[in-house]
Amino acid sequence: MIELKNTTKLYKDVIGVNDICLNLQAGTYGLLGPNGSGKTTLINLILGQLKPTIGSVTLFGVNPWKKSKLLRRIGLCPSVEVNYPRATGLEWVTYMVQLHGFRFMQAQKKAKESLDFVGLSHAMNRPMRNYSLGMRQRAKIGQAIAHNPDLLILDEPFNGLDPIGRHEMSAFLKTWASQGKGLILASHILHEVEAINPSFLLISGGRLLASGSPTEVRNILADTPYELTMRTSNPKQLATLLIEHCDIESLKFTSKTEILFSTPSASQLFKVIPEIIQQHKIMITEIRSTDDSLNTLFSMLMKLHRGELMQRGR
Amino acid sequence: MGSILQNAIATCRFEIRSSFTIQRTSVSLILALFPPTMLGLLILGATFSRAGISSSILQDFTPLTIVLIGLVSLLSLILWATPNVSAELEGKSWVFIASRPGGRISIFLGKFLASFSVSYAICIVSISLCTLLIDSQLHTGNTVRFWLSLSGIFFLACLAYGGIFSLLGVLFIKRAMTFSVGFVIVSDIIMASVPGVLMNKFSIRYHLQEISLTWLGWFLPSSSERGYRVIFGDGYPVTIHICILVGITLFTLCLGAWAIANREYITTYEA
Repeated sequence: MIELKNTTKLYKDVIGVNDICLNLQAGTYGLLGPNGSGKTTLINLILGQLKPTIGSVTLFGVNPWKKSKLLRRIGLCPSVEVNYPRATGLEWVTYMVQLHGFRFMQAQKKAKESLDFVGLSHAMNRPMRNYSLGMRQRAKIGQAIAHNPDLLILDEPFNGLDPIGRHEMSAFLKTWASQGKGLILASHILHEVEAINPSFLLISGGRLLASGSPTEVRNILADTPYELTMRTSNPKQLATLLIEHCDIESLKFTSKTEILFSTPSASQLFKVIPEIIQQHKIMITEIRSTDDSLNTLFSMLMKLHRGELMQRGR
Repeated sequence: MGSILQNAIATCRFEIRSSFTIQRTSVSLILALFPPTMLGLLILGATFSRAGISSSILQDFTPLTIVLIGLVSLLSLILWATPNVSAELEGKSWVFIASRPGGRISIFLGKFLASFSVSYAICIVSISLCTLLIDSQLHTGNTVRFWLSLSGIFFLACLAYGGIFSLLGVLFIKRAMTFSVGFVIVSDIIMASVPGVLMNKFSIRYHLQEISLTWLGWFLPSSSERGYRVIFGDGYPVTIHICILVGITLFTLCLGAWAIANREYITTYEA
């Protein structure tokens, strides 16, 4: 479906993506990376909106640069906001479908169907300035799927959605993926993408740092330096036990009931905690990760990539 | 080709409907009313002057009216045509359009059509009100012919300038308006005023002037045309001038469509 050979994109002296090699068959992919990691640049290269400075890009067997007809097979839901406050959802989606080469009546029919599919038919005749963030997100999805594409690319689709909206979005993406169509989901939040169960592509600093199944990525994640806060009835005893049984890098008592500590191996820690609770009868009321983003994982992957760190088990 | 035109019309319709805010409508209305207001004030001033209003004074006002309508149409075209790409990039809607087959060309041609339609509509309102004002004082009996001539001239002007400004919008994203104003100053004020025989013929104004002299000559003071011919020499038949203006429009539109389809527009700096 998509092939990138040593693809590099430079914006003058700034690197957008750096020497990426990829060969993706039709399926579901989660493109993960922190903000500014090169995800959008990679998507724009795949869409033929940008020309690679070095290397080549192939989409459905064709170089997408200047091949605008290829875009008929793709649905894109970018991360940017829709900025047509006066237009209604139906007007905008109809116009977007018309630009795929459909006549007005045909486009309007498809727009109505897709807005119904994303659950926005009740508000499709309202100006978009009256839409909530979630409704605008649905309208964006609607315009991306209305022409029935073979490959759907979504850039940060969960942005701004409330928990119900996130759940509905996950359900929709699972349905889409089950149809056997291509899906690329770019995000900087792991657990959102994980729900769709895709193959992962981890990108940071413009480089593809790792790729693989959720299990493979979980294994990498398990060995990522991890920072945790624990709330307990007996922090001093817990700290002593953790130091005894785990590889603890640093430890700090943040309050009378809280300890903040970091460990280079989260997997070892999560194995030990239930044993400590069971054997020593310590009550732990809360375990909270201080960093719920992928930044830690990506900084570790960057270190691995540069050879500054050896991966465990190697 | 049919699909491109269809998409361009869809873009024009969507553009006009979604961007005609109260502010834009007010600006368009002010632009449309500016020439007739100025003409009305001049007529009022002349009526109360010692000499009083006369047909010769009114004839002198006519070229000024044309210049005012010209300025208004240029301003409207610059406001509507030049931000064709920059407005989409700044409004972040470019990515939605560019990810459609033929979306880039559609937005270029559609925005050209929208800018032409709005600017020409402004011209028509202005021309109609000015014609009514002049006719109410002069009673020439040539009102319809005068209106048709001016409408035809400004139709060609809006086409040609609209094409050029749209092209400049595609080529110079960040300073499109500055370049458009610069183009008008250099090409149509400086270059077109040089009393040479070759250089000024490359300007849009030269061809519009020639058409005006043929279509409106009977209405202008005879001395104006004599002086003009001494400076600028004899012109071509009016059909040649029309063909040149239409040719310039087609050329700029084709060049603009080619440029927008083949250019790399950076929407985000990722690294």
